[in-house]
Amino acid sequence: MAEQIIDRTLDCTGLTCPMPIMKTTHAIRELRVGQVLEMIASDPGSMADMEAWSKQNQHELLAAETLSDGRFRFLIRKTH
Amino acid sequence: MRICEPATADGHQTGVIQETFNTVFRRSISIWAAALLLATLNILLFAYEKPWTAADGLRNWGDWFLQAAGWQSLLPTLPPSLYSGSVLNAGLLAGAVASALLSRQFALQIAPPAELAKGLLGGVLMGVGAVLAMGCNVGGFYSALSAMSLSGVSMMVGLGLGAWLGVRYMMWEMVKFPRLSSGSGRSFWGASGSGRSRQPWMGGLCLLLIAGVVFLYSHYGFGQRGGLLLIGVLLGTVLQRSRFCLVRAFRDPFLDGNSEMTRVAALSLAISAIGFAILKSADLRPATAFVFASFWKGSLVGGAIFGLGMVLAGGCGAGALWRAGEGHIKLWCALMGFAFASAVAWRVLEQGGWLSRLGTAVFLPDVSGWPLALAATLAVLAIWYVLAAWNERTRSVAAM
Repeated sequence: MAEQIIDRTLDCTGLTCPMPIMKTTHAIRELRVGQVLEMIASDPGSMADMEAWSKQNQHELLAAETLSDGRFRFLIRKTH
Repeated sequence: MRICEPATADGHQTGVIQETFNTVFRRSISIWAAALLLATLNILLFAYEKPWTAADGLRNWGDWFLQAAGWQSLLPTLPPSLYSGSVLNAGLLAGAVASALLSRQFALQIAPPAELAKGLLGGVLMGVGAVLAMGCNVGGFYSALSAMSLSGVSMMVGLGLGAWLGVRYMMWEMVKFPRLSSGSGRSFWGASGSGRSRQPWMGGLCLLLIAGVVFLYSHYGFGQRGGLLLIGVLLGTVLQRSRFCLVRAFRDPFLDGNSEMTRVAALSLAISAIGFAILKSADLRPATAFVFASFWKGSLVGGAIFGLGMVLAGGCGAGALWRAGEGHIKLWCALMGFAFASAVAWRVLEQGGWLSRLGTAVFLPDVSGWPLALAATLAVLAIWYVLAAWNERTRSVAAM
């Protein structure tokens, strides 16, 4: 994947459901349309949660990957 | 052969053993399938001994601790290794650990300090609420409603109230004090997404250890407890693989309006209720089982306190157990708070003579006969299902 410009990073390591989703919703509101949020989480549920979240809220999930330390990294572009 | 790689979607040839391993241990289970499996396991548990509850076993752990510290209860305390609720919980926890390891989802996850404190406080609230309601989210609501106890309905209302309050608090905290849940969380021992990991081997070792404990139970004449441990392992596995969560069923409609877990829970309850009705109406199991004398004061107030606690902690009794098994330290805090607070609350109420004043026991079929009781229970669940689906479209009560 090409280098993506990241406008803000949100570290949700250690947090359990629903904190990563709540904090992501809150953080994306503070971005402008087109900007990209990077979110890092460690809860295994966050992968499914973020996919459902981006569908429900209609923001673009650019990447959802597992890091080498087992955490999860998401890139979300604010689309509206 | 490498059996810890995930099946690849691009047509890459995978071995039969690997494919079986992935299906059984690696891939997630849909929450709809989990709803059927959990209801079936609950019916099996009732047939085997008594319906599913987590509060009972957690209180036993707290009781055991208080007794060791010198505070005697009026009732004798069985050691956790022999108390049935405790054995079931231990199985659930062990099953979740094994399942998380086998699917490479285990990691020691340490939330920021304020989150850990919220876990402990949520656990304390759940412990107190579970004593007042005479059961947790599972025992006092899921199993009690299945058992046609009217206390299950009043606890459902209480849980909804408490969950609403909890969501309000969390939204307020996130806006006013975002730093409480920011930045200082840690995660250790996680498995990378690709490449080898020791976790599946550790998970296999866990299963062998569990088998060894079941053998020991059987060898020393406690085979029945060994069976409970195995049912607990199955519950923990299904919960961890599916992430089925009764907290979400109550919380999500008030949070983001998502209704899926609510609808899943309603379906699971309907199956469980039908199974319980068969066991009870055919006199295969006692009609009074899980009909709690907590209608309506204890179950409503206890349900509200429990509902607030489970939202703060991020898991009910069973939910805290399987997430603790995944390595979430916040849920270990919740379990400690739950066990300790429920044991203390029980003793305070017991010694003050309050346990008999929490409400009355109302068994619905005694009031209206079996057909109407079952129809009314299923109607309550159908209304819950429809309201949640309607709220998802209209977002009438969703906070964000």
